[in-house]
Amino acid sequence: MRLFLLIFIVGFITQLFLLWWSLAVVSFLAALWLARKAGSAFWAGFFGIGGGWLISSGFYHLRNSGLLATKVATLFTLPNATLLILVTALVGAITGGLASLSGFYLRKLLR
Amino acid sequence: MKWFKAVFSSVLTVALVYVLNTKIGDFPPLGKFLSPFVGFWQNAEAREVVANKALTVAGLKGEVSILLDKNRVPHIFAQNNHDLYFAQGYYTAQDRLWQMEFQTHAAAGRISEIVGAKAIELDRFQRRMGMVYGAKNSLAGMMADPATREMLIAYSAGINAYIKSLSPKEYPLEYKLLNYAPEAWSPLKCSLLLKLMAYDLAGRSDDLRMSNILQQYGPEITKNLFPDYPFRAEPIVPEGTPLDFTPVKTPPVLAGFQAQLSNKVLEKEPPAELGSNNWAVSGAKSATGYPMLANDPHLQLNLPSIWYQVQLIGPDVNVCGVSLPGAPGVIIGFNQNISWGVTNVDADVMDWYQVKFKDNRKQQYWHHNQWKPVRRQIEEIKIRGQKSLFDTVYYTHHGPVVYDKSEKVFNKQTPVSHAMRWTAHDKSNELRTFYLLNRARSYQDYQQALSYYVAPAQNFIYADNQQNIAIWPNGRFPLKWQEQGKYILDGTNPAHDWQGWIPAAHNPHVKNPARGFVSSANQFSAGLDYPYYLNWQFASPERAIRINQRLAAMEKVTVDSMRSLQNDNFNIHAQTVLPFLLSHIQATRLNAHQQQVLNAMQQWRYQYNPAEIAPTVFELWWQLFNQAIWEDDFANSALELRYPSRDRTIHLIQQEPQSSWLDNRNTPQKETLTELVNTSFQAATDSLQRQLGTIGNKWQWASYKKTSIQHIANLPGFGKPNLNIGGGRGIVNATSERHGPSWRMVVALGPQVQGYGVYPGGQSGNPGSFYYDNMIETWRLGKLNSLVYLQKRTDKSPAIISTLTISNK
Repeated sequence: MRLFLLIFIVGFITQLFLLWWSLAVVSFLAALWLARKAGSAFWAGFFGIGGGWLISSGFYHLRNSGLLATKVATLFTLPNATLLILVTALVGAITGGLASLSGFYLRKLLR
Repeated sequence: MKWFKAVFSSVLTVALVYVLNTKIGDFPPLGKFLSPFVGFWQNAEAREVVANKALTVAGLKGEVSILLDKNRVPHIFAQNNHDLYFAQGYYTAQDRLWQMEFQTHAAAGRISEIVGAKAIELDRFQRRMGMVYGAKNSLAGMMADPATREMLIAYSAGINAYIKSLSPKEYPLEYKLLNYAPEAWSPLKCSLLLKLMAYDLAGRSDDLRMSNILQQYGPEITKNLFPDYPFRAEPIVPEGTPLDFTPVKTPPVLAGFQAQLSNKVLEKEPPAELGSNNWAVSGAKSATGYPMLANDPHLQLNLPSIWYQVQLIGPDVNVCGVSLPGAPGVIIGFNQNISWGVTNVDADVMDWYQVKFKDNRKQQYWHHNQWKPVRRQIEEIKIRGQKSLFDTVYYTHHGPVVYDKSEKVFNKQTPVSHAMRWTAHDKSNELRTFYLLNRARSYQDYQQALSYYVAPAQNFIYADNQQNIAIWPNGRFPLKWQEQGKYILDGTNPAHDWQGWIPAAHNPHVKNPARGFVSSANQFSAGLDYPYYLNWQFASPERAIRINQRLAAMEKVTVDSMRSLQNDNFNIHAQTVLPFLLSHIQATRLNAHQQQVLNAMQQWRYQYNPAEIAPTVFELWWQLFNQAIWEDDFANSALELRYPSRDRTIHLIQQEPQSSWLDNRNTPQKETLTELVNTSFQAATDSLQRQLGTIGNKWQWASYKKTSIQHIANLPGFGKPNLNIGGGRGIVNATSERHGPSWRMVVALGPQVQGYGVYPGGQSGNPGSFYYDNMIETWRLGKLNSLVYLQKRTDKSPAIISTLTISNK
């Protein structure tokens, strides 16, 4: 839970100011510091980053009444905008999860 | 194992980030693009516009206020012209940056830099057309004049100030999708944009097809089928309008040059249906007692729209109307005293010269009995993800030898090359015309403004609050002999060069005619009593005939009657030929379904309303009928040819029904007019039945026509397809599949000028904005918005929703 919160909060703030893939660096370093198990490391990164992406894309989507997401969904031949939000969150989640898992494995190696 | 897991998962993570950060094929870098922190979600705007905002920008001399009305049209107040155009550039870029850059990249042949190898042919074509060459020449003209120089420099500086203020997450959506960044703007880009318009409006040429026809059929038949003036004409400047100048001597007619057969037509030509309407009525004819003016330019229907509404208020100007994103000033609009609008002039300002090179090295060409050096221009086409492609373009004194279709060479020993002479390549300053029109107070000011204009030639319509109306088909027209440039010209003979220009004051014009109105719809500029040759063909006169009929019948004209005329769906062509065609139908030959269709046609009153069925049938029927007459004579050949005009075809069927042209030379039997009418009707009916089932709702004109407004880069989902809307080609409401009224404006002059207008789009170029396409529905319904025209910065108009104050940093 501590790892999840760390990735979620620090990841969110970092992404506001740095390149999008800073999320991977944050997840990796956080897991390197705090991760206990492979499974929980992955899911902490997965939900920590994916959650941030879900909340913010959802926010922009609602503020915009779905105008843009509907267009982009059509462009990517997705059936609707909701799916586009899920795809968005999943892309962030998998990147975050994988980075966090890598951090955990490196932690184990260094011990 | 520990090692393996750590290394494997880390490598996988880095690889994933790399892939998600890379553009693959047509897919954007997915991580970067989908990230809500930097990607496309950032472009999903809120509905509300921030009410008041102040910001500082380096480069201003004083303070600028930009008031936004409820359609988010900027009303820009500045204390000097520099700041005015700076702010116009800055604010236009805020709404339309990607479009501005993409269009000028397209003009310059630089699309491959963005999308890769698939745009090479497009880019090469632009280079061969000399678009940058023309833009540079025009720029020299614009920079030589202090007023337009200031305009261009300030406008460019404003755009650059905006670009500099952007961080990547604020880039317009299309940059993110295509994964690139905006580059610095320059005055050359403004010039390129104007060249793009010149190409669209004056980039068509039939010279080569006409030369081939002349070769194949000889002068007599060519003259008969392709005459220099139509049987039914409705010239803009009516016949009998007295000349107020003494014509200069035109060059003697030189005939007899037989160009070699060639299939090298331009591989890309702007669509023929680009055109426009405008008219103005006198105060005597209007309900207000003051003149009124209307204009609707017909261009390709795109998002973001080609037009951008703006009001510019400075110490010596207060002008309102539409601008072209990428060019300073207002192109169509009004001020307190005058209003003006434009339609295209189809004068022949693009000619082709057959070039005789000394040898295949193309270093010298024969002209005036000597070998002259060819200028070689190496064009580097940069291609995204690949090595640059280098292309050589050869220039004679006429102009560039344009890239042509290369696959068919008729005479392998001497491949034919043609150099292009085009007014859009010349040094010019069209911007000065608009600078002056924006500030014009009287007819004299308008006339003076027009004298600077070169290309693309336009019918400038005019009305003022001093009870004047006028129209000038205007541009720089070469002084030609009759038919000069109807066919390919001899590039070796100096007498075939253009011999000078029609003096600006001799361009066709009419002011305050007795009939109380002036109008244009791209038809012949003047009648046979005009002393100069402009072209042998202009747009078909149907729209002009309808406009003039209705204007002649109108009295006490109101804004609403002007608006209703802009939305007129009556087809003069159908009225002209349908009764004749129906009289040749032999009902006994028709099956039950064909009979049913025939009934619908007989009851039709020639209206192209959305729910009518007859227009669908008529369009296809006429197309097949026309094809049945001419295809065997002018299309089956391996040569590039063209059909005779619609006007000539109508004359043929009505006045020469026994003509041998009606026979299909590829069949043993002799086809008659009646035969062609009946078989084409049956073919049209059967074809529609196969596509759409038996006659019913699916045959309705709007659902068959499928008018669509598409995103400039054809992005699926970003346009507005299949609009329920009437009109069509050759109709005053010229809304066809992909083209139509790109801006409709009506202006009522008077003590207090009032303008109305709408375009099919929205002020924002951002597909994630509520203002991206918000005006389309108003446009579709044929309505107009009342245009907010502010006098003072402190005007408390209820239509103003936001104020932006910009001061120097």
